[in-house]
Amino acid sequence: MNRLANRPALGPILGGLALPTLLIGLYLGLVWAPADSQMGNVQRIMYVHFPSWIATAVGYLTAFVASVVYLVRRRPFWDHAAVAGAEIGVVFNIIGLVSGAIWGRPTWGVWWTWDPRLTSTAILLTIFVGYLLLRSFIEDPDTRARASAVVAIVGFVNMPIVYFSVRWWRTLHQVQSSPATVDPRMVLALRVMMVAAVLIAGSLIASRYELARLDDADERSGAPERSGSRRAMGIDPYEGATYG
Amino acid sequence: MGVEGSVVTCAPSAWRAIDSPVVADAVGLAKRFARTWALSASDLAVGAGERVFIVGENGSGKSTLLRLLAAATRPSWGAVSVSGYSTVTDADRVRRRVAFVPDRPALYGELTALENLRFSSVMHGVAAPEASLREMLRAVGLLHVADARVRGFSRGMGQRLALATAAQRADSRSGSASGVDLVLLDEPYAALDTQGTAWLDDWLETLRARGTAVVVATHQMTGRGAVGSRTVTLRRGAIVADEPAPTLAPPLVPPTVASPIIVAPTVVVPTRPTVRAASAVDRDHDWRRAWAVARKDLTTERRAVASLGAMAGFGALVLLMLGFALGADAGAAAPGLVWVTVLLASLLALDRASQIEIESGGWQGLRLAPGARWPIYAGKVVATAVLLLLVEAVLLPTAIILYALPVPPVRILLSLGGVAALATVGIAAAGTVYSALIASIRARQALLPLLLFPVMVPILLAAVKCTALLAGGDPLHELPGWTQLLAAADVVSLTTGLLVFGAVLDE
Repeated sequence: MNRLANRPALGPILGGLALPTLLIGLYLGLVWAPADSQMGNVQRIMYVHFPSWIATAVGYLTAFVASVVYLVRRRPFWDHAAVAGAEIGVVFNIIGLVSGAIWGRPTWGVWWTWDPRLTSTAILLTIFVGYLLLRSFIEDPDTRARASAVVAIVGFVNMPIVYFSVRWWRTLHQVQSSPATVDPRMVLALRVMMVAAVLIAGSLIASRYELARLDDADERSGAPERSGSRRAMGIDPYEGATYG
Repeated sequence: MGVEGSVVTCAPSAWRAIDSPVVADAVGLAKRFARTWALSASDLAVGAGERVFIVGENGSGKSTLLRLLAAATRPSWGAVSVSGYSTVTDADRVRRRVAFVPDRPALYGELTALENLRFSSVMHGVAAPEASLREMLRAVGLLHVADARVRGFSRGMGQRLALATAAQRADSRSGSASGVDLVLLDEPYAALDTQGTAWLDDWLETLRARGTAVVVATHQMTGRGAVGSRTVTLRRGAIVADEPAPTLAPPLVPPTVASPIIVAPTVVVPTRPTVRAASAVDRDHDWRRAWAVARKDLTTERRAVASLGAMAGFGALVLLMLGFALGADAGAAAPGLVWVTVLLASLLALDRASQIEIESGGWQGLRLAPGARWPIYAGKVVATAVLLLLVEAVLLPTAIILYALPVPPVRILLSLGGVAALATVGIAAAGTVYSALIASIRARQALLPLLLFPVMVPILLAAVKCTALLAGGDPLHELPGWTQLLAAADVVSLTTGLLVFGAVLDE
């Protein structure tokens, strides 16, 4: 992937954009926007809680799409993108669950409840923790990429049905407020924080991708020795390969 | 690599001793496992009717080279083609043209010699009548043990049977299988006695006369077969010597190489290499393959009946323990307890189904079988589902007795059976993917529940709800919704399973 190596690093660029957006968003959310009429200042955790789910979604979606493309194209490139997405997704998934618990304690009176969104995001976390654990057990990079891609795909496509089943089973989560009934300052603050979340997730995924690429280059270091091969080295066995 | 058409053309090797069409062509071929290069950039071209002995010490890369030629694994570098088809982009066509006997051949211990031979034939799309299978067993001197289970076979007998499965394919040109152009034998002389060696040498001569290329990996040159063969020496993953056969007659029958598989008469060279012309014959064979896999698994379970007993016993014991833990509350929670127990027992069933393949080298055997991958998946799902349903049939009465539940009327029992069938298919569909995926991982028993249970949540919830509604006489208007959810979960699991199983089986 030499053409990517020559490109200016995406991670720092997105990170440079994310930092001011985050600071502005935090100011808007924590200082400028009014406190909630019922929950008071506690509600301000929303400005962290909700954007963290946006970042989780960006991460897992990256992992899913990259896994599908990996199985079709079998390029290490896509595996690096998949692991980057999964790891960043797991981080924000944990932030989302923890911030939700902190918010839930004063408003619902409990840390944990069998609410469908809460339950299904916890299940989502176990799926991708399983994904990362599976990776740690497989030494060979190609086998690891193939096996973990299957886990990411099967886990991801099952998510809608997991969500529906849990929602049907029991529901408690507060109904989403529509922007019309909410103070416009709250809406603006939340939107800025959502943009910040996407930028942060993108920046971290890009940096983690770069790390995965370097890890892989290290793992695969050293081309095979030549024993009088007729052709110059560098024949890519996957050129034009499609999975079938 | 030319990928426009499916025929890859490579310059003939300078070392090739005889002037015949190239059957197997490896260029700059290399394979690494993690950080170790098992084979470093190697070139090898094998002509039709040529016999090549690959010699070298243990761990010199012989088996890796054979596995690469057989499309059992993908190269890390370089390219291999067989009869003009790339082992990466056209693996299926390569598998149809290669008969490979690995160092650990795929033989199922609980099946008889005849059943193993028949299973291999069906999986390779060779429609062989029983008489010809018995004839093959007679040729390798195993007719007297044709109906004995392979578990009791000595290593030499197992080797003879493995060679018979390859010979059965190489000698047969019927069914959807085209002729075999390349025979790969990994340490075929190991554990063979004098008679077995004599048969093998004769067979190698037959193959040469027919124009079939043969590559034999061995750590020592023995037998008549070595005489008049080209010798390629491997050392630490590199070809260090390539000596042509001293006195070699040209092949008696000039074979046709790079002729595409004749599935439909009009197809000559397909323009898109990945699209395989699927004829009615192929589809028929696919169903037969699926049935063969299911029957093989179920036969194994039937003969090792203790394992089913162990699973049911484990389930009953879990129900008993849960009864202790919950006391009087167990009755109310019974539907949930039964289904959680079923999920726990399914771990045993799935690991068992995977274990059968691991012990027998079966995953590699299934991987080498040409054709669509879905029949293998479907067969394994059916076998696992049947096994789980049997376990559930034991657990339901156990729960009724232990938790003092009322015996439901027949109408409710039938509905419960339908719910159980839907739930079980879902468990088997996702479970088969995961258990096959982690078959070669050390910690597979610990990983299986971690991967499987999260995606089993909808099936668990729906099955518990349905069972509770049916057992409790609750208003049943909720039932259709939950059964639809079960069916939807099944469809999602089966569809993804069918789509990814090729990648699961792949190496």
